[in-house]
Amino acid sequence: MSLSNLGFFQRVKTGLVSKLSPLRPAEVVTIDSVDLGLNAAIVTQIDFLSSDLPDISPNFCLIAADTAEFNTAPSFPEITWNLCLASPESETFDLQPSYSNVISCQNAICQFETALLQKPIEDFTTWIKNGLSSPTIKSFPMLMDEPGKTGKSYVSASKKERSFQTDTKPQHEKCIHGMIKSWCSICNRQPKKEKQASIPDFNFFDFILPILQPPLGDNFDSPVAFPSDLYPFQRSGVKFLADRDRALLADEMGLGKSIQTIVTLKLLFRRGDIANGIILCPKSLLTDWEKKLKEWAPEIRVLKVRGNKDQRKISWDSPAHIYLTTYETLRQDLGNADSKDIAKKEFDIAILDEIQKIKNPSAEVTKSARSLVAQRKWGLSGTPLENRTEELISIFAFLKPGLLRYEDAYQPIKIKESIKPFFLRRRKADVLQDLPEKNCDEVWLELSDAQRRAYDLAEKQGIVALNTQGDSVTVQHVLALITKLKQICNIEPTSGQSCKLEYLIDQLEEIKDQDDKALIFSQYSHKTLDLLEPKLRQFRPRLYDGSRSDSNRDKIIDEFQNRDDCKILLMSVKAGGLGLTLTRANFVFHFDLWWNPSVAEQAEARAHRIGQQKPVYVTSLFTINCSATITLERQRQLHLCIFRGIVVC
Amino acid sequence: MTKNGQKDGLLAFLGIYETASHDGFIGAVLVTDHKGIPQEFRCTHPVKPTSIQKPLYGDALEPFIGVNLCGVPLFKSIQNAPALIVVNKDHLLGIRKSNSCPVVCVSRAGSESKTDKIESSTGRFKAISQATHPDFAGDSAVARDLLKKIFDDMDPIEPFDRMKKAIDVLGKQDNRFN
Repeated sequence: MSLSNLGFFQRVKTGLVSKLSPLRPAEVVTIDSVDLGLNAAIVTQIDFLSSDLPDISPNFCLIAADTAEFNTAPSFPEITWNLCLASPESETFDLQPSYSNVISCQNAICQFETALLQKPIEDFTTWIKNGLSSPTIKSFPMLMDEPGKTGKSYVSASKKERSFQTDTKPQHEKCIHGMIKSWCSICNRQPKKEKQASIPDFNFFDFILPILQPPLGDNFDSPVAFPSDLYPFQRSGVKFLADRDRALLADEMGLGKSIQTIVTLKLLFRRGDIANGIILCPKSLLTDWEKKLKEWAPEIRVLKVRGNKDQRKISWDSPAHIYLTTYETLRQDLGNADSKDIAKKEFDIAILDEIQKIKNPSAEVTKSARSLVAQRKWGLSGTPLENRTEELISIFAFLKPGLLRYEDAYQPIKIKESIKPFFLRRRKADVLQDLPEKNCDEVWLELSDAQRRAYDLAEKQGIVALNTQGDSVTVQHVLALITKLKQICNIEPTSGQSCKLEYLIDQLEEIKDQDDKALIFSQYSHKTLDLLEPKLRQFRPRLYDGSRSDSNRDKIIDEFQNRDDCKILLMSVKAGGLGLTLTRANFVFHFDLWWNPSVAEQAEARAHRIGQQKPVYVTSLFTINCSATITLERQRQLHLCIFRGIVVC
Repeated sequence: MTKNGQKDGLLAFLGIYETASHDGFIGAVLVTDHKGIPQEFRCTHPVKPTSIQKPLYGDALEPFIGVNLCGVPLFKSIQNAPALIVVNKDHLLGIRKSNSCPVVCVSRAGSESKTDKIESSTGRFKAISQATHPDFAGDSAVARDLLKKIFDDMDPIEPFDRMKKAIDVLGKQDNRFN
């Protein structure tokens, strides 16, 4: 088709000029004169605003490869000749990114016929539109998508939920023996040492379970929150703890410090004030804490950190509300290069039961406990001050650093005033008047002949040995001699004679007849308790000392509390003197006494505590005419003076 | 068990809460026993309407999100079928249309409300008033009976606070709930 009417181009020109930026220089392309096709003017660039296309008539036909010339910028090139348009190739130049398409005719004559024949252009406007980029049309969906949902059933976790909670360990994991682990008899037989409780499944929604629990009541009187009612003094104890970030609850033994603590934990968890915490306690109390937490706060997920190094690491890395472990375990794990993450853990609360364990500022357990990072720090102890005021200062160096100074150790009144806002101590006699009374008695016995001979001989030899050592004698040498003499007072090892044992057997027979039970404490496991056990076989004794494993200890306590034929429990005062609840016993015998009376009081409190139904009878056994006994009594009196000055109100 | 597999005394509390960043809504349902002990908790991820959607939906936004987007799927997912659904906003009563369980809206009774007022016989909790969906006339009596039974042990308004706290904690622990 021929385009005889130049009016079309004039209209194109007029339309385009108004759209182009007057400042943009026109692109000029050098035309190669050798190339025939380049005789024609080449439209190298026509920029169109995508939003406003030029109005081009469909009645166009370009046939003659004439020339078209462009004027220079800023005006649009003026087309003076008929222009040959072949099907153009679209090119994109980076120079003008906002104008996306460029139409060029590269070889008008050569391409004209073929291009036009193959693909006749019927509608130039459509053709140009197609060659231009389409505008982006933003769509705004009116419908909102249904959100993802998640959650947990706390009473009947579905299979899917259970699998979500558990580790994604392969079920058919092979053991070192090449067997599927659960099938391997060797692996299943191996954990003879200590069966570590498996890490409980822990769903993210278990974290918020305490918050979803009903409130405890304005005065902790919710009928559904606790297995039994709290005593009024315990309620005030809970409020005391809840109101303080730093606190030392120093109620006398047996008043339920751990229960008060657990109730406060419940309260804080339910408020959302805390999300995690750590409880440190002596090894003997781990199970007791675990049971009480389960009974009083089942919604709180407790993870007992025990077992070997690898098991402990898994425990530390596992999620839990409360990590429950011992002072020694924390010390080991903080000193372990693989477990440095523990030191980085930030707890919302750190609770140290029997906090007197950190009374020695230079001890490793003290250092490790002090390295715990926690917003709230509470200590629990029935005997926060055992020997010296420095012990209390050391305890407060953990609870509230800077509150007490070692220079003030000899100013008990000042210390008492300083700790007052953070310190609460109640005595059984004041707050638990319904508790059956405790009757204490001392029995002085005369050594048997064999014991006397052995005692005198050991004393003489000991004194001679001390004299020969001269100036190199230390306190330890003297203490070693006293220990040896005290052990002879308990039982003479070669003959097996013991005045205390004879007395004890008489008493135990009566106790057995009354269907009562007794605790027998000694500080010497091997030199006393081991020797007593076979001689008391008729009473089916159980021996509880530090050499027992956790599970064995739990079993012993359970048997004593629940089996009627088990009448007596022989206990090492160090292993069993703290924290345990042994209310099935109402007779307590101190076969020997530690020079510190608070240790004996702690031991007596195993029986004389909340839950005791009968009067408790405490008997301390002494031997007459023994220098070791005299030394002991002097020490005990000295301690009582210090203790009453500060701790006892 | 009652008909439709509903456990006796189980209550489902349906709430809709704004995210901490105030740009979305999270739906949550807490199923408890008659003493308020949680049996099941489900919640949605936040629904975040765009700035275009907010004006387009207008006042219908929160009811639409609360009922259609959150409530319906939440009740489809719970495993413990309740005997009564409790809501604390009138517009959530719409969940009744997709649920066979009676739905009641509870609020603290003011001095002026007398008709649907329910008192706690123990006096432990302040009185509440109830409202049900107008298309389901029978719900009111059923809800009243059930609420009276539980009102001695628990306050039916209090669980909504628990859910709010739980969602706040979820938001702190997991960015998906922000």
